[in-house]
Amino acid sequence: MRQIILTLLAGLGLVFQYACEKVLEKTPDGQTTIDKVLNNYNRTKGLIDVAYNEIYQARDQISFVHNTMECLTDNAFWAATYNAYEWHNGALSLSNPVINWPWASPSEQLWPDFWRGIRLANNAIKYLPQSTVITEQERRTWIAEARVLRCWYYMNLLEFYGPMPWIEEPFEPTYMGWNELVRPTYDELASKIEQELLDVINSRVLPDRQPTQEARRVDNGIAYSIRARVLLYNASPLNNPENDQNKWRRAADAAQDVLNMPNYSLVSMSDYKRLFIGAFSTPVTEIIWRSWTDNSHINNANGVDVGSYPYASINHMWNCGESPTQELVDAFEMTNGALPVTYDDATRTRVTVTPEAAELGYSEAAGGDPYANRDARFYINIVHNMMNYGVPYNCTEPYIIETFVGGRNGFNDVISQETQRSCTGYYSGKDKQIKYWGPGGSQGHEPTHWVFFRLAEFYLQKAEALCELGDLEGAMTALNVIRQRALQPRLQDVPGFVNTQEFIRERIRNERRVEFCLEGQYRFDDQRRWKILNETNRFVTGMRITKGADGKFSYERKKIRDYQSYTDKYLVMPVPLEDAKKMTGLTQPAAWQ
Amino acid sequence: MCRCLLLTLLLGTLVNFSLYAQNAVTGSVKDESSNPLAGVSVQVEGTTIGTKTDENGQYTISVPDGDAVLVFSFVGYSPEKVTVGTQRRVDVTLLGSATELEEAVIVGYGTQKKVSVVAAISTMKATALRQTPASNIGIALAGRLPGLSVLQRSGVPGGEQLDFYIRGRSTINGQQPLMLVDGVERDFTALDPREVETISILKDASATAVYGVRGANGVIMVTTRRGHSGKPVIDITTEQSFQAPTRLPAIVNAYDYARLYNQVELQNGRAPVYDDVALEHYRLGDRPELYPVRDFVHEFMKDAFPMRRVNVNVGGGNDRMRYFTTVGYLFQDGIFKTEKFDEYDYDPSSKANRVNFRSNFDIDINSSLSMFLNVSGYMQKKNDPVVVPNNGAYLDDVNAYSVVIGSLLQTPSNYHNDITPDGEVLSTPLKGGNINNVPYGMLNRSGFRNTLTNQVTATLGAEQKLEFITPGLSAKVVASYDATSINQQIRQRTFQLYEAKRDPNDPDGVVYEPTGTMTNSSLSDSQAQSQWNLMNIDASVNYSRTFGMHDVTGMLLFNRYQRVINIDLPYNYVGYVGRATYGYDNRYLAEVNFGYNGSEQFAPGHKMGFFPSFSVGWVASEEDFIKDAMPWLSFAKIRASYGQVGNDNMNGARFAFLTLWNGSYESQIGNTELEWEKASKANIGLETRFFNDFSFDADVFYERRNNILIPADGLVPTGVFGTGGVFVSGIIPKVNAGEIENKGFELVGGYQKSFNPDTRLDIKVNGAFNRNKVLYLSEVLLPEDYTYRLRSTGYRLGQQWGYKTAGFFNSEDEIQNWYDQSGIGATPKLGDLKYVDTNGDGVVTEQDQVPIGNPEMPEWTFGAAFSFQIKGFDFSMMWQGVAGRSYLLTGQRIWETYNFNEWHKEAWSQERFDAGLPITYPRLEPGSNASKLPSDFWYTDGSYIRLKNAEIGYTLPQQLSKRIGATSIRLYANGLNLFTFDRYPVKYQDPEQNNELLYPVFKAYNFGLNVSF
Repeated sequence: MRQIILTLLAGLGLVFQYACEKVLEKTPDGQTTIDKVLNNYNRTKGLIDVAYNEIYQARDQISFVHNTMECLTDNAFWAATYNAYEWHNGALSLSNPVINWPWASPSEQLWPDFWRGIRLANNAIKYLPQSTVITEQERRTWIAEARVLRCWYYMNLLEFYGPMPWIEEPFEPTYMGWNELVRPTYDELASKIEQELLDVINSRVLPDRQPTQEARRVDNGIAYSIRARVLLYNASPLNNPENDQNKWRRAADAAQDVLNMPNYSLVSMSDYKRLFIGAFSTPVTEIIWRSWTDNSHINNANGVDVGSYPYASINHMWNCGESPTQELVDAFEMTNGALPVTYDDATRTRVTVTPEAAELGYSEAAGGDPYANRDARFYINIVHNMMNYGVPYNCTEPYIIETFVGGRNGFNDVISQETQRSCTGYYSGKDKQIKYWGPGGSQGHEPTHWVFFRLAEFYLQKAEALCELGDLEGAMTALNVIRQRALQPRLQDVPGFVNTQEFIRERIRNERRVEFCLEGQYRFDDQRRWKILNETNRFVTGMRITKGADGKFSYERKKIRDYQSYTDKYLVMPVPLEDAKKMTGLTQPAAWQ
Repeated sequence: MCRCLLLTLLLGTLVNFSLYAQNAVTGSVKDESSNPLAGVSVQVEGTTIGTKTDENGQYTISVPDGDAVLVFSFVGYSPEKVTVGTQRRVDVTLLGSATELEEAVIVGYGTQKKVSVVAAISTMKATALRQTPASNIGIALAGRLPGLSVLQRSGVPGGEQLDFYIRGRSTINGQQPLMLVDGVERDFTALDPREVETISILKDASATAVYGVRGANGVIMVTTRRGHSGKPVIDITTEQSFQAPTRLPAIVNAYDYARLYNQVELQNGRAPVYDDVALEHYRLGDRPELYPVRDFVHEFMKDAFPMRRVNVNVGGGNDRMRYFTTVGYLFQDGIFKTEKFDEYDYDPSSKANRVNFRSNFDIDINSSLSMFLNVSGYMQKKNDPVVVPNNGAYLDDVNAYSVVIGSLLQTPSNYHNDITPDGEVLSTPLKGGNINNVPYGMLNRSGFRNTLTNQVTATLGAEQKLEFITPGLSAKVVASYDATSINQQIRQRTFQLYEAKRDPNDPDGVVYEPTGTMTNSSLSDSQAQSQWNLMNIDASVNYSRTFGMHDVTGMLLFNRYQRVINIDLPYNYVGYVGRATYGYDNRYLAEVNFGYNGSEQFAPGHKMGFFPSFSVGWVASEEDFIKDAMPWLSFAKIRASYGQVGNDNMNGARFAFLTLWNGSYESQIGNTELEWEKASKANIGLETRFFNDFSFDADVFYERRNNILIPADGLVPTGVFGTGGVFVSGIIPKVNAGEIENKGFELVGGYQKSFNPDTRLDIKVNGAFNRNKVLYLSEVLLPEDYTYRLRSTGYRLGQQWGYKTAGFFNSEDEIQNWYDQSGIGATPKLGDLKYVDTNGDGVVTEQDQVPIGNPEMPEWTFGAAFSFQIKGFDFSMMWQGVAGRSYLLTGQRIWETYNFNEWHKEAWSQERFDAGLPITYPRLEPGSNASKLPSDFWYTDGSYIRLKNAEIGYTLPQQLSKRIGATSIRLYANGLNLFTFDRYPVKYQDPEQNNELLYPVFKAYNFGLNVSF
């Protein structure tokens, strides 16, 4: 009896013990855990596909609302009290990144998005090796892609926030080493990116250039491009105060590596517009990488309001958006290579026309024309008074721009409201098409894609780096490739040429401003890395044109508003407060300490 | 041995008999619940003559003469003395005494003698719960047990909402105590008060460590009544109550509404809306078709409504078997006046019927094996109007009735809200509200829903003594299975709304025109079902033995628990429980408890937790030196405990340790170290009895809760983490990192005195205080320009925040000279509240908020119970209160946003100000207004004291009750929430409630009859 009971008890105990362990291990069915990702081809492939998703596809969707990066610079002005307005008010603070999208949740943009991109790339790098359903070739290719993408996101971080700790694995929720993550030097991160990219390139896993149908995916050309841009910025005054020549040498070599790629060539000036509009499926030889999502809505948020077309009923646009400043317009040379004006004083409202410009008819006097005989790129980028903007879709009559006071695109003195009429007297035209507009809402436009890298950048990078290295000839040779494509004379031939580093540096910088205006965030980056923000971003001006009774135009340069966005605090954006508090090793940029 | 004793006793009796051979007296001894008491010592005072009652509580004794005094004594009860006189039968009822130290106390998975308990446990007998007509025994618990706070939030018949807290709050996650009925996790609030024996709360770690991962919030333990051997005792009770809301809003009448409306229009520079003709009609109420004059609160809410209760129970047994069986019936009517809708012949009233049943059996199969079986359950049928047809979200009581109450509150008294002469729903479209929310239509024309709840709970247990292995050893298995099903039948329809308009053809006539988008539809049927099951097995080995002065007990138990809720993956727990106690000479006590258990919702490797507790006790009154020094001190015990307990109530977040993917994105990142909350609890207690009749108990406790599951926002840089924005936690898991401390004390004083068998006084007063403090919740510091940069760390849970006010703006000058307030609302006008700039930056902004008052959860709870018996009369009352609580006055019951109430008559206006009349409310502004921001103006002291219940009863003399064969007949009247004293500026809502749209809380007057056979 006793034994029976003891045996029974022991048996019961075992059963309970078994039940105990088993029963707590169950988890709900029907939920996707990592093993279900890794044993499914599409989900596994998705690991690399989603790593692309944090790449901004539209340059007007980074900052609220359709504010482009250009309007945070001295290249363009955005009316109304959105982010650009706040930015120039000096609203940037530890707790207010300004560049955000308040209607979205979360509203933050850059900082979390770039880190999310890094996490997604790290997820791919971590989990792809564990998948059982992909080929070895796919695994190697996708991991290589993820490594390049990770560098892309770090490059984004560098441009806005400066160097950040290199993270190679997705953070675990139990990770507690936040305070040990310290900010590396710019050079350390740039070198890390370079090493990572060369590693991928040298492994020959990725093609030099993706075939057309895979053009959205990264390749060696893109890897070289990221490297070149990062190394140029690494050598720039902001990040190279001691002017380490070796950094310029590396930058020059990296730019040359891109130029050495056999697959790319500059397009001719007649095809220049095709860089910015045209189907993604139609490759352009100069373009190394561009956004794959059609971005033609930018015509509705930035550009000319064709709704005032006198010959047909065309919808009005929402907002004229980024309006080129007079400072940008002044950067465009005359066809003879002369800059049109010099400023008489710091207000930039009184100017002296250079004699060579005057020769070509430049005049801001009543009845004069400041817009004739300018650099060919001027007519693509800057929509100005009395310009023939072309013929709207399904129409026959051209649309003539009237930016003068009272004209159909007439001057707007109110800067704090949404507006269809420019406050600067100019409209942006680079990636805009009049065929986006037609009677009754009809549209005949082509897709628009934001260009991330095109070959021209690397000629100018090379020119800049060689100039800093004292190789003025080499610098001009590289620079002139871009000038000549734009049908401008060689630098040596421009009026007032002086063969000094200072002169050549200034003209290389001017060339960059002209070549890449209204395109991405070149000016935003350049103002910072050259440390010229406090000279260039204190205010902007526009051209207020009035039409006299005699039909003649009078030109008045007008300050639009003072900016507070020139201080050193605007050089490098601070780590957002919420994260900074939890990462004491991640020091804020100098101006924020 | 046993037989020898018996023989001696017998012989002794014989000897006594032969010696005195006098009058034999017989009788019975019962306890307060009329249960016969066996083993009661019956002694003739001053002699050695004595006997004991038998199993049926019967005794026979010979007394020498009429002057003899019989002394009845029994452990745990006050001794009774009765002078025999000429009586041949002496029946007595023994009452529980203050020195009820031998009484068994229910502890986790067992019982202990009260004298040897070293844990903080408060126990009450359920008899006190029968002194109140509360429809839910949870309501009756308020103020009874020190350390237990009960707040009644709503009074929906059959769906009362109660918040229970033991020793306040120590976490931001689930704070509900564990609730057990007969040792199994069950909701006790639906039990009939007459099926309950005792209710205990377990407070410290020593008491709750055995519940391990579920014990940190304390435990409410209910035991049900069991049978005693003896002839069957049949007990029948019937009660009839009348309920009425404790508080009602005070909406102004039609005339005042129109006047106040005009006042607002004039203040805002607009023309008055109501002209003198209209005002006069409203004042006279002579044209109701066009100028309605109504009082909706009273037209739609009953002044009094009934509740009925009947209970029959039978208990008894013999030496092998005991039984207790009961059936209870409860009917509760609801507050809303409803009408049958003849077209479809349905009844939309809000009401509930419930039948409770229980049978508890104990069987001794042989001398070493005993078994018990408890079968109980209830069936509840609840009826409610649908209110908002065709919207699943409103099939819930709180949601549905909040729409009705909200609509009643915001329907001005000059609006239409009934039916047209043709019987169609008539409405004036509500300002700002939903046009369909017409109380008449919602209550009467939206259909009804009938909710049928069936619960059956069954527990089967067997205990085998294992004396053959070693004396004192036994094994026990208890298996329970509960099944609950809820079936809801919903028959709903929409109704066409009509509007009253002036007849264009007849200046005095009225026409009714359809309005709104709803049409009259027929009834549509739908159903909703849900099922809960529970399976629980406890298997234990117990040991209990005394070696001379040493008392040793031990227990090892295995528990397996599974709850199934609809189609969710079952909730599982498994665990082991252990206890060892040691007592030396009833003087020195020591106890060790542990729970080792876990649940499936924690991460692998973290599923099982070990929760130990240690406690010691010293019965000082057993020491000779104390006895000599303080002879008046009959009992004194000091005890101390320390231990760890867990809380796994994560507010519904299950399997948070899993990382889940949506396609190729992480949709939930699992916390692979997810654990339970850990509570470290220390408790020191003192229990005393002195001067025979007095008692004083005190407990002081300190608890530190860490590992509290909190959002990781404050720890993880969510931007860098890479799953989303900086300000949102996104998909980052919660982490075990929060820390909160909680401390407090409980005091209980008692006085119990039996002046003579017919006169008895019993007073018990208790007070409890607790205060918590947030030590860490990963809160992110606010910027430097905030007056208070932390909003929870260092404060109590639920600390309320708002602006500091400095009276009203009485002149334009004051507005000009005051800080700029435009940052938090419109530019101030005369009569708005002035806010104080607390950070000194010259403007009033969000940065200036300050902590205001107390949390809504009270810090102090009090209870005071008095009972007095004399002859056949008994009287009892129970006062209950809370303090250290603040309540934010807000919403429809208070503000003029939709309607005006009596308070608004004292709102700021230039006329009142000029006339020097009292002004107690800011300028009326039905639109948004900065004066309505949370501020110290709107936070009111939420303390209250209420006469929770009072009872007067009369037990008929036995001669009378015998005529119908009864042993006892008692008539009584009692009441619930009879008086309430509080400091609210306006008494529009019961102070226990925490939202202005909740179903009212009731007071009740009750008349009852109890007959025992």
